[in-house]
Amino acid sequence: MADTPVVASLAIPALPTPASSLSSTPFSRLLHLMWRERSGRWALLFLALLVAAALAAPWLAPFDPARPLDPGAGAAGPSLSHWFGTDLTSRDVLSRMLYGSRVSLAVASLAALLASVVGLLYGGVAGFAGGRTDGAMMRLIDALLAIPRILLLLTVLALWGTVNVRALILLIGLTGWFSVARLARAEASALREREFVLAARALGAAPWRVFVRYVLPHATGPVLVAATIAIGQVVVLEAGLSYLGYGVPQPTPTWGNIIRDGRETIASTWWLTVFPGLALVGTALAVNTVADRLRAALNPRQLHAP
Amino acid sequence: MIAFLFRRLLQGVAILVTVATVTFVLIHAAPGEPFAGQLDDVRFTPAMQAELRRQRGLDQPLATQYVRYMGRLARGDLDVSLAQQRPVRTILAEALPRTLLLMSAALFGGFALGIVVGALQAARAGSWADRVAGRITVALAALPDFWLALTLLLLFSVRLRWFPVSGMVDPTMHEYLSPLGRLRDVAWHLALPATTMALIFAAVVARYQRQALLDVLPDDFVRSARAKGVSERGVVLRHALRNALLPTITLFGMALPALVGGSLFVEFIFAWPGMGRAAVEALSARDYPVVLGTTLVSSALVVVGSIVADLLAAAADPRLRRG
Repeated sequence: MADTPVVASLAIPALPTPASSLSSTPFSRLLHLMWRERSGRWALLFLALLVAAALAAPWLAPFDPARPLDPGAGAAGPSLSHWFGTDLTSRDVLSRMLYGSRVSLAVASLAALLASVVGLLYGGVAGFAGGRTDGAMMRLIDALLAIPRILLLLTVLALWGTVNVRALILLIGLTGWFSVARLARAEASALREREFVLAARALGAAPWRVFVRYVLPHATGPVLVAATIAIGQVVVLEAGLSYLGYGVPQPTPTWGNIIRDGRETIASTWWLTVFPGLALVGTALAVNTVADRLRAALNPRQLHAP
Repeated sequence: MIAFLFRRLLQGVAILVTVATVTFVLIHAAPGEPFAGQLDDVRFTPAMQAELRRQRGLDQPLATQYVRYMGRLARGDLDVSLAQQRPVRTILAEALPRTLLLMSAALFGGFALGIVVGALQAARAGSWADRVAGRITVALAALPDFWLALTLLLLFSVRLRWFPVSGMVDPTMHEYLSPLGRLRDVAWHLALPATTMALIFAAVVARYQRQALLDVLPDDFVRSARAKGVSERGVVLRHALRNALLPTITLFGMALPALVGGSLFVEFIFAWPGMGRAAVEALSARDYPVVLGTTLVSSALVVVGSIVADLLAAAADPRLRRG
């Protein structure tokens, strides 16, 4: 009668790993908090796989992303040899997507990093300075936020003409920091009145020292969440611009460029639209989920952001 | 209320002046001349280039140019299109109502659907249906609009042939239709582009609405409604929902800027002849006055939209009127 299941159910469950062993650094603590929920686990796994696939693209890609395999053939649907089909010039779509993920992810993370740093510094300075400086700096942000970002980008592109990848990263980064600045400003403004900042000032620390040592580090939490959201936004934005023909210049493969390649023949070449699109959706979804979990981990009072 | 409106209008004007100044800086920070794309044409002799510069006032000091530029904008003059040789104002006056039609259909449909879905979810929070709807709304909210547009186009226009592939009216038949038939023709063409944007909005709205309802359901007034014997449906739909609409109204204001920019891809893909499409077409012709005009008009719409949203919020919540 003493079957194992009964014994097993009576057995004391393994003690949860003490959090202290995992929280040696803030980073691993955050990772642990995100890993606790299933959605966070899936998102992290997906992103880890994606980054690994992007890094290993030269070894993973079954074909050369730039070489037409059969110049006369044209586009062919998914098959065993070409899982995601081939495009109009007979290039393997899976290989192009693998190489494309490198460009798309690099553009997104660099542009988001740039936007976060500029936003953190600008907003931090405004909030820390307070008074009229703060007011003037924030009125500029109000105006910049009133311009729809895509139109601001198109205006600059219309005036500048075509741009290369480096300029594109700069452009996307420099049109994305306004909301980060507003966030950082709110944090810095609240920090200004906190006791430890007042104490540091009373002890005679120079303003720039108080700013760098006490204000900036404490304002990075919300900015980290904003930066994560920004990565997801930029992946989609770059794909959209590339789709319009004003993003990463052809023939560099990016997810948006592959979709653009299939836009004239969408009726017969659905795989050129669907597969890169699914990669985009998966990435955007995973990044959003990570941002959501991150927000919950950094601000436990607001566990379930809408 | 009047003082509140007056203050918001003043702020709006200040924002627009700053936006115009930013665009002026952008024009002059551009490498070469703003119409350099046109000058690439070999037929432009140096004398003609100098003449063009003089005509555009580019030989004047920067301060003079700035005053002229702002004065021109204040009069509502948005310059002349380089590619089409007609005032940008005329081009945008044609395109704006079409964008507004698309936007209002998408806004109305998206918010109505979102509020209903969110309320139904909150009424059965934690149930199987709530969880499924939650998954769907999270995924939908993350969809890139241009990709959703392409997918709907592929599915419903190309494969199933239920809806037209592009445009706002049937290019040959529209002229010969009765007034009612013309209306139906436009609605027919409007269906897919509006649905694309409405779906994404509905997903975001549903998530906010669900959370807002769950926030008010533990309140005392909800308990008294229940104690009075109001049915559970009545409690959620009549008593709680009314108090949980404020976040949604705020969201409505935040949705406007996203719609002006967000309709760009949808307009481009469905060949909807609105402002977004005008901007993209002008960009391919390096016709910067049109792109710039679109940006200025869109920013003005954003400012107006945020004032409208504030007024709506004040109308819904008397506490905000004093603020």
